[in-house]
Amino acid sequence: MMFDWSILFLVVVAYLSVLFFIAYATERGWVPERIVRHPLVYTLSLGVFATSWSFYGSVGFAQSQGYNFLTIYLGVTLAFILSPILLKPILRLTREYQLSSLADLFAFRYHSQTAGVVVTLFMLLGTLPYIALQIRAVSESAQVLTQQQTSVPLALAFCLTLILFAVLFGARHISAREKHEGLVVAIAFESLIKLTALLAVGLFALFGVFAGPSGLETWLQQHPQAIDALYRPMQEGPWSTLLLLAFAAAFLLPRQFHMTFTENMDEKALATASWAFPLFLLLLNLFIPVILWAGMEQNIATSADYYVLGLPLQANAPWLTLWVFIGGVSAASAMMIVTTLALAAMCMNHLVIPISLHRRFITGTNIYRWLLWGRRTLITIIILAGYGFYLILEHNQGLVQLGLISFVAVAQFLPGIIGLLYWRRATRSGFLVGLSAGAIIWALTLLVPLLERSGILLSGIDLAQLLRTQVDDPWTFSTFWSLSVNALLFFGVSLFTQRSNEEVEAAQACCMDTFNPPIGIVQAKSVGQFSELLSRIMGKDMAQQEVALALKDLGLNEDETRTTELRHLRERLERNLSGLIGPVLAHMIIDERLQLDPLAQVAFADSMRFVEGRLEVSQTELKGVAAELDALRRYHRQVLHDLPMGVCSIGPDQVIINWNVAMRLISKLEGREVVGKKIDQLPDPWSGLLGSFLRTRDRHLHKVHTSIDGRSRWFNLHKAAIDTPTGSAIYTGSNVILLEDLTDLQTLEAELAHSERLASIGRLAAGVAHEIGNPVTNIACLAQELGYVDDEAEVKNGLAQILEQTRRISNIVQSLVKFSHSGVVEEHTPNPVNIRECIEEATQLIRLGQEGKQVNFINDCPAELMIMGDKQRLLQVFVNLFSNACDVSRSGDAIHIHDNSDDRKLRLRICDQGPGIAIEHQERIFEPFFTTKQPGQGTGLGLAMAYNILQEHGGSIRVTSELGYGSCFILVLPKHHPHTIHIETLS
Amino acid sequence: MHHSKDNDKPIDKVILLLLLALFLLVSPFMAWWANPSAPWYRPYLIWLFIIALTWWLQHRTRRP
Repeated sequence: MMFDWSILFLVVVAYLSVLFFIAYATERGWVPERIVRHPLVYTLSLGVFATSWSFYGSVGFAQSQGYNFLTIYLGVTLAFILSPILLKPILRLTREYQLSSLADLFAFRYHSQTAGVVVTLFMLLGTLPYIALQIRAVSESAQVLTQQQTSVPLALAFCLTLILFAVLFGARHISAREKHEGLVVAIAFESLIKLTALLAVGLFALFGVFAGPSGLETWLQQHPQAIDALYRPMQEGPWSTLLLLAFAAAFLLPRQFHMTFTENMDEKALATASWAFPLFLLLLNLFIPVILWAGMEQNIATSADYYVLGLPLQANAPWLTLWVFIGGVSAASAMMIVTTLALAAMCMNHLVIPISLHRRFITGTNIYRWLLWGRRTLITIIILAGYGFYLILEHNQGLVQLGLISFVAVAQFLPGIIGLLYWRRATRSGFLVGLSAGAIIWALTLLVPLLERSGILLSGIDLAQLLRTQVDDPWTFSTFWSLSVNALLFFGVSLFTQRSNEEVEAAQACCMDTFNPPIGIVQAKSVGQFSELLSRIMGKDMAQQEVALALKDLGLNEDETRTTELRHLRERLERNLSGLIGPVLAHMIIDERLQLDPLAQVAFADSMRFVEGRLEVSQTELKGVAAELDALRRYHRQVLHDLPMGVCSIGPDQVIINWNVAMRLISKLEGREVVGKKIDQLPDPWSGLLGSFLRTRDRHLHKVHTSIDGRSRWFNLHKAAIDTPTGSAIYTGSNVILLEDLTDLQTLEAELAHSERLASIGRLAAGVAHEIGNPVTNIACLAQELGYVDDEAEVKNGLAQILEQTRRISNIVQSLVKFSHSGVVEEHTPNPVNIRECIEEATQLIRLGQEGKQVNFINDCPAELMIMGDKQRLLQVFVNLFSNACDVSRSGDAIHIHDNSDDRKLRLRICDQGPGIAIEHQERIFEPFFTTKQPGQGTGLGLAMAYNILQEHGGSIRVTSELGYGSCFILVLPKHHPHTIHIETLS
Repeated sequence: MHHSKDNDKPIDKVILLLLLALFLLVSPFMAWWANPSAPWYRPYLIWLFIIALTWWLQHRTRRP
């Protein structure tokens, strides 16, 4: 069976069109989000690892190297086992700092543009043979199907279509900071095609050639050398070397790095991939030995590399053959597209931008457009360079050989990446020297011999001869020497060289166990200044767009002025620019334009937030005592957070560090809006309330009144200076404020006071009736008399008496009305109160209630005695006290009001001649609802209320009593001097 | 306070799993399982065993 070129060409075009459609449909949102973001799609997209080498070359590799072919996938399995400590930290770094390639990562860590350039050039050199391999695989597979020699037009058409696809779907966005969902789904689809094609051929070999497992078993018994040929090379061949190479390739190859980190949409998907991706590789390779044996059994005419295609072809199965051909195209196209995208991003960031960005800024070019087209041009150049490499390479190299050259190349990044993640002492010089040495050995041992064999180089240097070593296995030889020299120089040179400050900072960012907060604050004081400073270098439009994007990412407003938030904005801008133009240039631009004031102290709140953020991220990595301490910290933080009382801690720089749930509910201010702000930046009334309390020496303020949204609120405020047993300097000057909302209690108290007042009126009612009854009787008598009197003088006298009696009634009613004044909660503005008048008024009220009982009030209080307060409430105090005194007095007893005041304090003693109060009752009489009266005769609130009112006035009350000798209540209140200034509230 | 029995997770277990995988794949133990008298699919079984352990570890780590 043979296929025509045109059919194969159409198949390739049709398949790539399907890919276009899948990518397009995903980008347009036609594919549901849950599918696009499903971990299995991500896992399948990692299947880009399996290229033509895996698809076709594995069978040939198995034939020459037995089960050594499995090392290429077992190495990947080992790397994915380590995903929590190897891949996850890299993923976090790339996401957090917008690093789109390995060159970005190294340039960021070693803070060196040179590092980026060296990595990019080495990666290009190491990957071009691999791209050539893919083109060769497609072209040779077509030759197998057409049984013709030349396939250059198909290879070229294939390359051109891939350029179109990569440009349309891989370079759709301006920078690598945006994800290409269409590309991810298309690559996942390609993996599915590869898997199904290989499984189909495997099943065909098992059931079509061997007639099932039992037939295979029989064949193996007849050909014991077949199994021996698989197992023997494991003992003799480069098993360990290949495992190491595949381990490195699993995440360092440009295409793997791109799909694993740059296109990752969900960090959790990596956890699924850690087992699902090795499982995918296992399924992909499950039938490789069976296909090999079936090819041997059938005597397929092609090389073992193409048994996968030869089997269905020889069996005249056209559909299966085409399916396998498409699988091969999938393997090649996926690798080429993703590798090219990754390399284009690297070349753009590290070769093109450093040379020409400045000029573009000066000429006012639209940078976004320039970046987009720059990447697209690079994609085209790289694929065409791969095609050129394919044309000049000798075709007698096995597929695996070309792939392994790239594997050894990327393994040179292993020392650098380990240093990046786990060794802060690693330096730029160490990295560059080590990598360069490794690259030179790699080139001398693998690349030069390849070019020699292809006739490009006439003669090279034979390193093995120089070292007087017999080379049995070029891979082990090259890997051992290049990696050993690389690693030794990396560690040796790092130990003998110094790191720059930027390197130290980047090393801290890369090693997750560091907790040093950033230093310095941004000199620009507003978002507007950010735009203005950046526009001087990148133009107004780009500066505004970048600032707007960074603000959106952080959820900040344009009117943001908090220093902490502005520094976050600066960091975000640098990261976003890093995704656009690479980390080194981004750092340079931000450093130059948005300078930090290194002398300014970072807000303590900011340092706290930084450390807390780090702890949140590294929570799962903590163990042992650290994990227990972290759990303890979380518990204590939660206690503060959930405390049913407002808690707000303030750093020495007056910046708010903590704002708990109760505080949020009371103030209606969200913690994230408030934390990091200075106290005086809070909206009213909080800045005044908390700020003035922080400045006063008082540690407690009681019943502070304030108005929020037109509603009266009362708070108790408590304050404590935060001190640490260790005397740590950073905590010095910090304070914690507790806020107790008393509004409900105050409302209740006011209602109770009102009830008590009404109860007093009730008790007074009989006396009032009596008092009013007398003048009314008098008026009635006078009115009757007036009817019989003709003398005008007597009439006038009568009327005057009536008027006198009505005035008397009016006075009584006025007193009652004043006393029963509404008890609704309202602000009590303090006024000067004459105590003697207040006592007189209370006495009059009490006399109304003392029906028939003659108690003498002796008021010794001087007429000029004044205090600041609320007359109405003070009147209540005296009414309550006198009422109690009258209740225990007999007719004819006296109630004395003595004055013992000094210059500052007013001291009144109100003494009765009653039976006295038992000692055990003296301690409790100020408690609410405590009464010694008969049920129904007292509420038990009178003295409690007097106690509260006096406290609110800054005074106190106590009792001295002796059974049988009466009781004395001693009231102390601050005196009012007309020239002193008093605070607004009763506190 | 949350006293986790997972205090030693997950990194320690990852390292243990890697050591086990290395023991299976690159120690002299390999010479025992990789001999020609063994069934052809034995390397796949060992591979599957390592994958299953990785899945189990992930499953445990994710569980709250």
